[in-house]
Amino acid sequence: MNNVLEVSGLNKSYGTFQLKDVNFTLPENCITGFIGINGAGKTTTIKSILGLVPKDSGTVKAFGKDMGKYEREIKNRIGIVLDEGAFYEELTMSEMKSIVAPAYSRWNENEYRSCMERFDLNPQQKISTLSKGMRMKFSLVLALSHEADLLIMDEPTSGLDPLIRNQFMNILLEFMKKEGKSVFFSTHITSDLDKVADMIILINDGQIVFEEEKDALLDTYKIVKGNPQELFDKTRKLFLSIQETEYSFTGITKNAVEIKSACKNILTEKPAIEDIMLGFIGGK
Amino acid sequence: MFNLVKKDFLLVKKYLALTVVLAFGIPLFVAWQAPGMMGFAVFLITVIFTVYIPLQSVSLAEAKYPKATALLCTAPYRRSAVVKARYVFFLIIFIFCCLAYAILSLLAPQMEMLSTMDVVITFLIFSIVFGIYIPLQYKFGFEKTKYLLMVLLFATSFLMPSIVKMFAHTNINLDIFTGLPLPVRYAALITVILIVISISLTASIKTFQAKAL
Amino acid sequence: MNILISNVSDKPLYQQIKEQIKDAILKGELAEGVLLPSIRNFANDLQVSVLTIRRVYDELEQEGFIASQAGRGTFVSAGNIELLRDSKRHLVEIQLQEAIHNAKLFGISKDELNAMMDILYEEEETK
Repeated sequence: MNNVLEVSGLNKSYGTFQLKDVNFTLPENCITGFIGINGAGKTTTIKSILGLVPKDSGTVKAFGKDMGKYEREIKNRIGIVLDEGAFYEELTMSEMKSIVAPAYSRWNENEYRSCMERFDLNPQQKISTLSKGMRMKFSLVLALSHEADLLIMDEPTSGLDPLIRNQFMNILLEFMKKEGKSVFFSTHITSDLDKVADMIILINDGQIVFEEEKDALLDTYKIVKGNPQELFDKTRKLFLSIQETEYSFTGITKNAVEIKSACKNILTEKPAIEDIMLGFIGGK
Repeated sequence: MFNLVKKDFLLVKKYLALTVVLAFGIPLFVAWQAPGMMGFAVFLITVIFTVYIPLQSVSLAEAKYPKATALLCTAPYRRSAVVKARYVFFLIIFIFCCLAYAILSLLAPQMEMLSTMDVVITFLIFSIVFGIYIPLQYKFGFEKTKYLLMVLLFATSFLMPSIVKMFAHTNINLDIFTGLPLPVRYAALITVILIVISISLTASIKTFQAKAL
Repeated sequence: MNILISNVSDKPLYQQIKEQIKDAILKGELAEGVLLPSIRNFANDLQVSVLTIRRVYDELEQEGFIASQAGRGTFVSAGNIELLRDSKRHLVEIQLQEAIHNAKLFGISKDELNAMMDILYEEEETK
């Protein structure tokens, strides 16, 4: 399987914040979710990849080519959605399009028109009058209308209601049906990913915590609940994180089998991505 | 790049009408209020004030929506093209002012016609003023530099005519220059203009390219 | 073909899916030459990752249940299925032999054994 994006050794200091040796790769034909709490470094990573902020060190390769050397060629194949629609609010959608479109050599006007129609957007409407959901859709239209092979999105779903988020996920799945397409998007709403993601990358405090297949992740980790009297230091070490009350404990672990043999009365459940994320960043 | 120039026009579309009014209005107003004033001075004031409006509004729009600029820079636009477009935008407004003045002086006989030299010298002053201001604005942002521009503009528009007059009266230093044949004078002026613009453009591009968006 | 994914099962997702496809092929619900859904479509429908489906397809292909043809898709390939069915049959025979051996040991007659078989078989079917 080819990698559409390879980030290696990325470092960036930004005020008091730092990205520390960020490495990851995005496989082709996959939706990769980039998760982490606010301030973990998601936006800075994405901006560094796109060259919006100069990086201190590291390389970014897209489609096998170096981003620094082939920047325009690569950007021509990437569709971007920045959070809350990065637009000149006083323009109409049609005017905004007329500024963005000529930058792309593969701009497809028919695709643009049919997308606008499908999403119920009126090109003559002023951007400042659009709702959050409409803005996100318009961002998507711009990103989808130039035959991009990779979509990179920064928090596209933040502030949207569940119905629109669901529509958004379906649009992504539709996009993925064509061969050779990939999506990378950051979010702190991990439930978005339960349904659509193939890969999950977790970043915390400027560092990559893990990079895993979503299903493998959900198969490996279990929520284990049981009797706190049965917990000993040895068992405790098998947990990623654990919460205890007088009546029970709830923990997240990839050693469910060992714990089962150590404790008599336990329940195991399948976790959501959020449980795993919190297990990694909040448990210690 | 044409589309990026168009972007600047779209951003100031609300003020374009005002720009047109100013380009025609200021010369008429000055000619009516101060009939004796030199055509050159009138033109200089017109240019400076006419450009002020779109410059402020385009900068304000960019300052208000920094993410939109970021979006353009994620597209295959070169950052340098975004900057160059801004310079072209001002150039177009300058040319428009020239045309407006030319039309007026054809229609209104009391208005002094501009010589080519007047236009070139105005363009030189225009290049120096904006050539200093634009890179500073890229460096420090709109908020910090908006008063600087006002100071620069008022200083230019009020002081320049007096300075020019002063030079005209005293005749120092200028002898060497005015003694030169006309084509050489033009060539010298245009060279200076080109040098000013290219230094300014390079500085702006360097600053903008290093900027975190 | 039905595929039911259990959230409480200890079995990994890919294994659950793989076993159900295999069952469907062995039972003949998926006949030879049937085109399987594309990896992306299948993943979307089951709401699992494409990487999981890719793994399922890869392993089924290695085991000879399916074959993928570049540009055309992935098909059920029954080449090995007869063999597999035979080997499964063989497995059942061995288990039955063991049962008969035990029955003889405890003095259970052939008729009794047949009756036991009928009851158990029906019970299994009504489950």
